[in-house]
Parts: sequence; C-alpha cells; structure tokens
Amino acid sequence: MSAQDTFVQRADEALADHDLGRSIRHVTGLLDQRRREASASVPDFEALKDRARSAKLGMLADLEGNLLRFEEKIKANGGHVHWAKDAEDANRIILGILEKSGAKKVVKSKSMATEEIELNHALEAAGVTPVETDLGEYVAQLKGDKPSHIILPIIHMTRQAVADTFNEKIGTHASPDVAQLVEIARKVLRKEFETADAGITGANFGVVDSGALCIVSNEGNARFVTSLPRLHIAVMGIEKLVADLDDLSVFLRVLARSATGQRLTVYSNLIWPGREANDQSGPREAHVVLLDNGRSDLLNSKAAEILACIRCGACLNICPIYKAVGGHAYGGTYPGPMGSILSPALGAKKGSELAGASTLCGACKDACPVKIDIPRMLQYYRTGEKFGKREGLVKGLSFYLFGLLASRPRVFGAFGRLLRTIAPTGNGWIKVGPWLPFGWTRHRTLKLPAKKTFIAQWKEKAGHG
Amino acid sequence: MDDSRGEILDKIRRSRGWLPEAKTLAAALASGAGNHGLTAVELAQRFALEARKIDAEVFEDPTPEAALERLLGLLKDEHVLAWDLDHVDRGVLASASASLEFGKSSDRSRTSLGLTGCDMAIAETGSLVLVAGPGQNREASLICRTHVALVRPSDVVTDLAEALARVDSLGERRAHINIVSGPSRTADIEMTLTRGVHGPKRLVILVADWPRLNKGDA
Amino acid sequence: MRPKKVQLFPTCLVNELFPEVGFDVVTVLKKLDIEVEVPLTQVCCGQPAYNAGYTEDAKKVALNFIDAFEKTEGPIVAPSGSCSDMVAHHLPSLFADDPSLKARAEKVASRIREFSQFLVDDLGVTDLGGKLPASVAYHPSCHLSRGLGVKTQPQALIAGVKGATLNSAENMDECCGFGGSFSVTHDALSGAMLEAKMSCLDKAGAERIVSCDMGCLMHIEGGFRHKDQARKVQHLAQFLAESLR
Repeated sequence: MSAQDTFVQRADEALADHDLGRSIRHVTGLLDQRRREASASVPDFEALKDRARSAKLGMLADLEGNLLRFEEKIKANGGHVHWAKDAEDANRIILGILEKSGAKKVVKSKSMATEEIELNHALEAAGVTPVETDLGEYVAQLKGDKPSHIILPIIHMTRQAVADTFNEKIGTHASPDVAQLVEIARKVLRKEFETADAGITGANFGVVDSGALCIVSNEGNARFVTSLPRLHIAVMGIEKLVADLDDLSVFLRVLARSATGQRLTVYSNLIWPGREANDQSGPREAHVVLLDNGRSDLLNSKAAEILACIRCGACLNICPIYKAVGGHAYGGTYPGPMGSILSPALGAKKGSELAGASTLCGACKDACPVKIDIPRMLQYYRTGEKFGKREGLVKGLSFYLFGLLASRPRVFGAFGRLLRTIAPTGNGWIKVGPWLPFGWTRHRTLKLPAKKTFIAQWKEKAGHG
Repeated sequence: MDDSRGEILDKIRRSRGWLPEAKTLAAALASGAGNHGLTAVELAQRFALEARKIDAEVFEDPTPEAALERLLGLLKDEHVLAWDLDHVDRGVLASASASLEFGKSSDRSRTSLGLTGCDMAIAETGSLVLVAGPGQNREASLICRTHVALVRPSDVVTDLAEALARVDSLGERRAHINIVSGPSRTADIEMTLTRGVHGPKRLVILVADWPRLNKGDA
Repeated sequence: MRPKKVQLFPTCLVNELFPEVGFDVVTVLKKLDIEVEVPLTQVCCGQPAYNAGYTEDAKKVALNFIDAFEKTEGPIVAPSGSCSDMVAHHLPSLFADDPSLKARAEKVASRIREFSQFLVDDLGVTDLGGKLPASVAYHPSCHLSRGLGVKTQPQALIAGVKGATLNSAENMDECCGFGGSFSVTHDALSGAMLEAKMSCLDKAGAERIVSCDMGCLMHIEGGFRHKDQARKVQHLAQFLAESLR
C-alpha cells in the first residue's frame, strides 16, 4: 500500500515498478479481449446494453418508490430491512445485529460496499473477527493490503507474493504453484465457513418486485457465506435495484460478459431474505442494510448517471491510465474510471484530484455495459461545481489569460506576433531537457511555433493575390 | 435508524431530474436469446454442448439403464450426500456407495460426492437451476469435491430469461435458488484459471430419460 | 446537395505550429473543386479551458468562435477530430443555460465537419486519384473515433491512395496519452502511455504514422524524436496532398 497522498505521487511510484506495470497490462489486456469476444458472440449486444441502460435509468428515476416497494416486499417475506445514511450508521447497525445474535466470527464474500464503509475495521474494533473468503480478498486481508481491482483484487500480486504471504501469515510451506495455493485457501477457508457465526455479503442486484437479492460469484464463497452460518447480513447500495427477474436476466448476461467474458458467472445466487423457514439448509435469520453514504447526493447532481454502474470492471480493463498505474494509485475504494466518479462522492472524504487524471479518451464509455458517459462526468467534476477545485493558482491564472486573449482576435494576434519576436520559431523541434518548468520535455521533444501563423500567411496571400 | 430512512428518502425525493433520458426502445427487446424453433431433443443437446464448454463433464446415455450404470460407477467408494430424488431407487444408491445420507451432512470432512437433480437446465448457457428447500439441501451441490447432477431432457429450458420467468411461478417455494454454470473457479492469482476453489472441483451431468419413481422407494 | 464552398477552421495547433497542414487541407479541397474561405477573426473553440473545467473562460473563447463563423455559410471544415467534437457536442452544452446563445451555438455546431468526415460522408469521395507507395499505420484519435464516431473514413481515404497499404497492430485504438494539459500536469503518466503507443505503432511496423489530430501527432512525433528515432508522422491532409503531387 502506498503512503503517498496525491494521485501523481502514487502514480509515479507505480510507474517506477516495471513488473507491476507489465503484469497489470497483461491481465487487463486479457480481460478486455475476453469482453470483446463475449460481446461479439451475442447477435445484438448493443441492443442488450441499451435495454440494461434504460432499465437501470428507469429504476433510478423513481428510486424512492422502488426502494419503498423493495422494503415492503422483503418485510412481507419476513426479512429485516435497515437504512444507513453513512458508513458510521451502517457499521453501527451491523454491529448491533451481530451483538444481538452473539456473533463473534464473521465470514465475508467480496463486497465493495463493505470496503467502502471499512466494515472490517469497525468489526475488529468491536472484538468481532472478519474473514474475507474471496481468494484475492483473503490474500489482501492477510497481507494488510487493499484490493486494487474490483473483480481481481490482487491483480498487483505475483504467485510468489501470494506464497510468501501464506508462508509468513498462516505458517504454510507453499511454493509459488497456483493449484497448491488455491488448495491451501480451500482448506483454511472451509474451516472458517463452518465455524463462523454470521455471513456478510454485498449484493449485485436487489429485485424490487420479489424482494430478492442476487449475489454472483465464480469461486462459490458467496454460497458458503450465505448458507453455512446461522445469520446473513447483506449490505447493499441503494442504487442496486432492478425491477424484476426478467430485467435481472438481462443484467446477469451483460455483467458476466463485461466482467470476465463468461456467459454467466459460475454461481448466480437468488436469495429471498425472510423465507428462511422454507429452507432448513440456509441461515435462520437475514438482514438487508440499505446504504446511502453519498448516493442520494450523487443522484441530485449532474453525475447521477454513475449510479447505473453495475461494477463489472470493464472500464478499468480498457483504461490506458488504469493499465499504466493499477488500482492503488487511485487511493480510494473504487479504482479506474468509475472510481474517479464514485470515490470522491461516497463517504466522508469528499472530492479529490482524480478527475484530472484522465485524457477524456472515452474508452470507458465504449466498454461500459450500461453506456455511462464517464468522460462527461469527469469534465463536470473538473469544473469544481460539486467538490470545488483542487488546482493551484497557476493553472487558474493560465486559463483566465487564455480566456481573456483567445476571445479577442486582434489582441491575440498582436500577442502572438510579440511572442514570435522574442521566442525561437521555425519548422524545427528542440530537445530542451528537463529544465523547463513543466514536465513535457522529460519525455518529448518540443515543436517550435511557426514563423508565421496559418491565418497570417493566408492574409498575405489574399493581399497579394 | 428511522431517522436515516426518512433522511435518505427525503434527499432522494428532493433530487432534481439530472438523469439522462434513457433511449426509448422502439419495441420491447426480448431479454432472452430466443428458442429458434429447437425441439426438446435439440434443446437438450444444446444444453450438453454448452455445459461442456464451461468444463462440466456431460454424458447423454441413450437409455435410463445405461445412465444408471454410469451413475453407480461414479458412486463407488464415495460418501454420498443426496437430494431426495425420484430418479433412482434409494436402496440401489445405498448399495452402490460407501455411505449415503440425505439432508445436511453429518460429517462434512467425510462427504465426498453430492448427488442432485435439478429444477431446470438452461440450454443457452449450460447451467443448472437448483431450488433449495425440503428434500433439496444446498450442501449436496456445495461442500463436495464432486457434484453429480441428474437431468431429464424435459428439464431443459431455452435461456436464462425463460428460467427466471418460471422461477417467478414457484411462489412461496422460493427461498434460495442457485444457478450453477460449471464447476467452481478462480483466476485471482495471475489470471491462472483454477477449478474448485470453494465449491466442487468436478461437475458431472448425466442427461437421460430418468424414470419417476415414488420418492423413498426401498 | 454537394457543397461548393467551405469555411476553414484550421484550429490552434495548425494555425500556430503546423500551418503547412492548413495549406494541405486547402490543396485537397481545391482538387475537389471546393472553394475555401477562412474567417479571419476566429481564434479557438475553447476546448482547452472546457476540458480543464474552466467553463467561464471557455465560454468567452467559444463565443468569439460563434461570432466569427455565424456570419458565414456552409460547412465548417476542421482538420481535427478533437476540435470538431468540441464544436459539435460541447459548444451547445456550454450555453445550456441561455436559450438564445444555445440556439446560436447549435446552429454553428450543426455545420462542423471533420476533414475526413467531410470528404467521405459529404462529398462521397474516397479516391482522390493520388499515388504514393507507402505503408501506413493509422492512429485513430480518441475524440475523432469515439467522440465523433468517425471510425472508418480516414482509413478509406488512405486505402484510396494507389500504392498505399494500411498496417495495424493490437490496441491501435488506445489513447496516446496527450490529453492537452494532462500531458503537462501528469507528465510521467502521459509519458508512459506514449511509450505504450510508440511500441504499438512499432509493432504495426509501418514507415509512416498518419492521424487526423495534430495534438496526438505532435505528442507521438515528439516522443520518437526525444529518443532520436526518425519516423514520418503526418496529418491525413499532408499524406493525401503528397499523394497528389
């Protein structure tokens, strides 16, 4: 984990680690390739994306009504619904449920929402032991590291680093052999599943008209977490609703294809909290915690569209910046393009410099299964309207001068001619080294301004002709 | 807690319409892949084909007898945890395996093979739909190294949308449904695909015209 | 109806640093019997300030752009996907709060055509009759292909030149890392993206690199020159004009 406190510092640190760069580029490249192939294998994937987008935007347009219907349905089924306005609220609610049930050990399946509220810290502080059970999350937890990708949490680690972590933290004698490492995790975590008092998950989708949760996982850990312990708590962002099972089928198709190029995730679990009496092989009690933590503020902003995000990670895998620096450089819970919009808005630490860390190339928007216009929102964050501006005076002053000059053609022309009398001009390029006050010349040679502008030459020609 | 509920709903209610207009879809776009006029037999073949693609071992024996023989071969020396099935006689199962139990496993570390039927099978994706409930314990498809599922051609539906539409009609029976597409997998370490991280390592699917016996026949 | 006359918006980079590209655009258009006018009071569309989030400064500059072009008629042709995307999509949204200004912006926005888009979509031309034996790697600039949706027109024009071949490699559509002021504020990261771009272009193994945006091309050529590696880097208009000589 990085101790640096700005994006540029963390990015520079990541760039210096060439092994990290190579491995992230390799893995994201594979995932992106699989997404492209899987999208191409559906006759009309664009139409499916349109349907997913309109379904999600439709849900958000009446979020209040849909949340109330969802709550009512779960309660009618016999389940418990809680509302948490922020991280503190959510952690207090979860601890309350655990305390009442006397739970001391909790198994968790991968949940970005619980990362967001830093639930593990709150649990540990209250004397409850949390165990992450997604393989990547488990390794990250053992190492004291943060996940760096929302689908592949330890994309930044080699098999050697995983073996070292196991050997150091749980006393194994593992070699860097993936099958062996997976087998170790299977054995250790199986015991944790069997002895845990409660299971905590996120939720990929909440199905309004039936009061069901949908949780997907390839490893099967979410099945154990929601089956073996006597208590299940699901922490779900308030934006995760879909109307019905038919819409759910659309989202499951686009999610798996966009995330890993699979047709469906290995296990898609549908859970009806409150119906525990119908199935003796599951938990005896289930709770749903609906988490706001900045989402309602986002809904009331020009970045509202980001709430349609289904956390597939496709925008990370295609982003040339994520590929170059990885997830830790972003410094928040959610990395990559979607993270640059979400992280500054969710939780207590509002605002960040992440919006500046983009060329607005638009690849994320292309890859997004719900066609979210991330570049537009990055530009909106840059205006400072929502979280204020983070940049120094120099940049502000430069654009003020630019605005002043470039809106006055005669002054602009005169200014240009004046500069040309003192600065070098011509068709050439100059290699000036790193002494200029900005970094361009560390990586590129500088083009000289033309002796005369196009418009000046055009005027002359017109004058002569 | 009630304060938070009111506060959250209030904020949502007060939000201005910042969401972009969703593209109006000219015609209701079908959520499913569509049946393309496949017969029941063709659907079952498609199911087998797709399940193999995601690393399930699928056998389509021509007769129930041949399928039963294959099943009994798989059960040999295994400690079996089974659903309450009407496909096979309990006594036959018990005599073929090292041990046989139903419901929850009494010794999870010993149980080595889970035997289930399925509520539906999905042709488009090669998936199994398993509805948990009386006689259909979750553990049988979860805790063992090997999961054997018995599928009848009549179980096969076209696609996920059709399967979920049928789930809707289960009504009160719905408590927990698992849609299984292949054996458990992870690619968390260097994108190296590995089977069986938490769930079954092997998924064996026996497609046949299994008979419908009275449950619990001895 | 086939237009007879266009207004040229050379864009800042061409005007200040690469005027020869502007004249090559004129050469190509003249070859197709298109008369070219250049509104002399134009400066910039305001994109640098807009992208950086300085909306008020961008508005001032954009207003001058509207002033300069609304007095004229016919298509506005620009040798840049990025500037065309700004005018086509973001100029109207800049003035969303002011109906009369928004209407003026929309009118100008509806006339903007990126150079290759104008040739292929409006004139229906892909073969200008040029000849040039050359193997070309085409860099699809982000705002041209994703912003404007111009994904095939430049390649069609390159393929239309007799003797020219198009070479490609994986990830050709990845950003070069320029991003305007991004290349200054995040110079090391931008430099790493440029490295990836250069290695991708080298994998394509072409003798020239052609694109439709001078920002990307200046960045790419600057990167190769920094390593003392000579590459022929050209705007599409330069390549086409050369094929006509």
